Amino acid sequence: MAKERIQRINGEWGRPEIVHSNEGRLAMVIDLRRCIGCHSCSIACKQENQVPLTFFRSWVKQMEKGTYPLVSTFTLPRLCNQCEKPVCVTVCPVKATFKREDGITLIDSRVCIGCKACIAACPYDARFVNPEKGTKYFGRGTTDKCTFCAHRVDGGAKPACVLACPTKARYFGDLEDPNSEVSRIIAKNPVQTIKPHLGTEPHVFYIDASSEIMGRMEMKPRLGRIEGEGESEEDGHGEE
Amino acid sequence: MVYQEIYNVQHGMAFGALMAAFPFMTGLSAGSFTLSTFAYVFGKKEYKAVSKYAVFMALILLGMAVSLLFIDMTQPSRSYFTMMLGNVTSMFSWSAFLVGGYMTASAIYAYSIFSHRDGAAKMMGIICIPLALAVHADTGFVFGLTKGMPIWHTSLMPFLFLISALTSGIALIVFMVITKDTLFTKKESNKIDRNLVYSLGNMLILLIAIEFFLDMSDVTTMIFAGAEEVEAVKLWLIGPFSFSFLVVQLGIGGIIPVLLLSLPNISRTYVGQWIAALFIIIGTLAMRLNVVLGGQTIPKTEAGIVPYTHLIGFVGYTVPQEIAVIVTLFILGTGAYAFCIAYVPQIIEKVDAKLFGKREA
Repeated sequence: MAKERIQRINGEWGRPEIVHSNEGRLAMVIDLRRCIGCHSCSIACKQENQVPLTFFRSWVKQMEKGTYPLVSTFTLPRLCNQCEKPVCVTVCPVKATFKREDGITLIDSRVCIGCKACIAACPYDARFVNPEKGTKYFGRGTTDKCTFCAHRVDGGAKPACVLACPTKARYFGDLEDPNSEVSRIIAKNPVQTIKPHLGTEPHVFYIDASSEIMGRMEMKPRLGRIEGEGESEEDGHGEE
Repeated sequence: MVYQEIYNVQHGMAFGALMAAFPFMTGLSAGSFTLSTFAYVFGKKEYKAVSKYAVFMALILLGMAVSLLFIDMTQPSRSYFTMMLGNVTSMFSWSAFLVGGYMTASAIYAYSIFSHRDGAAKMMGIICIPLALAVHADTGFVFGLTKGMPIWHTSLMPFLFLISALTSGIALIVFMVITKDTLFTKKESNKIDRNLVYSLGNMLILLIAIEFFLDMSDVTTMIFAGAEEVEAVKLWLIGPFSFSFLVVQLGIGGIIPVLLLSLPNISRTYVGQWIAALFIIIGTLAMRLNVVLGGQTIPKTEAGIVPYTHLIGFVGYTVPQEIAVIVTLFILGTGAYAFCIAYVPQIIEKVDAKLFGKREA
């Protein structure tokens, strides 16, 4: 069953069938009191999903607050927020991006025309052009983003980043089930989401997140910013 | 309290210079098309002389704009999907259908002008004007409906785009007519009436005034809005886009043309009109760059500013390569335009005579 679903997501050609997965609403809770900023989740995601160099589906944002001697570092693991009202789905001209019934927003790389409207529209910088996806001929890449590891979820497993976290800061489960891990944690703790004022209703919740790190506030650029680091590289490989 | 971002991932800008050139070109197209309908739809017979120059300009600019989109797409071979799989909430999807409809309708309109069917031209003109305006307003909505981008997300965006489209389109026709009359047309009877060009100049003053008002409303609202908007407007007023916004868009594209078009000694000369028209076009291009690139320069979840990423499709092009693509397009477009002006009216008349028999002009 799970195998069939995976085939339908990554199949050969045709319209995307909206895959009916397990019922409910999938969500993730990230407990920042436990996060140590080790970037294990970023690496696990890269390994699991074969994300090319210079691109990340999941990463950890780090911020420094205060002046010497009272300085502390804050981390914010980032990934697609799997919004309840995703902006990317509304702007896609070919419906290549769609929301599954369990709340995961996916991209059909067979249909994506690469207009980049969703990249511009996503308020969370979650999307990018993946040069290794798309058609064999003519293809120069299609849009890509975190899928909540939909292929693993369909097979009954948890996302790679959740399993990789050494401090068990990430929780994953069904929000509609009141007995699930995420439901219990959200019920007990104050949680925050990124940019809630935009009304996208993100389903990645953070415990103990500092408001400065959640969105764009007036902040100095990061230390040691490498010139032209944000630029895409033609072959997707680093300098060395 | 001191905050400093230590590490973050940047995925760069989504739209590069080509997507900024797209609304510029569709704007020029919509503007010149509207001018071409003055004679046939609104009954202002004196504008008939510029109609045929304007309608070809509109068609060719639209073709160039669409090819820019194709170059910018990462999967251009799938572009027909937009026609097959529409999405009501997507402005890009609306764009595809509107551009397709507008292109077909304005081609029929051009045919009816050159086969001297004034009645048909009027009818097609009435169909085409809303389409031309809708194409461009839709481009404004593409940016205006993006709620994550403080510079883009304003209800003024479609109006701003429409007014600057009319301004730049009419300026382009003024520029082109003056160039043609002083350099290429030798016979006095083939030249276009000077008073007609001057009346277009007066129209430009009004349009620039409206655009200036809209720009100022937008900037003032952003100054007194939330934190994100204030950050955004700083980029235009004191940040890296301040030269482009204050000097090029408002100065060269607004104040200098208004002076040139209204000062009594200069406004009634072709030199003054020509320079004013050129400056308006440059100012409009700067406005598109300020909006499209400026909007993306403000990062959504990062500190500092997003550096410009050279993107044509996915392949990382350099600035000279992007300029080469744009220059090639311009040369092709100019060539196609010269061909249209020189031969297409005769071809259409011959084809029409063959198809429907001889007609009196």
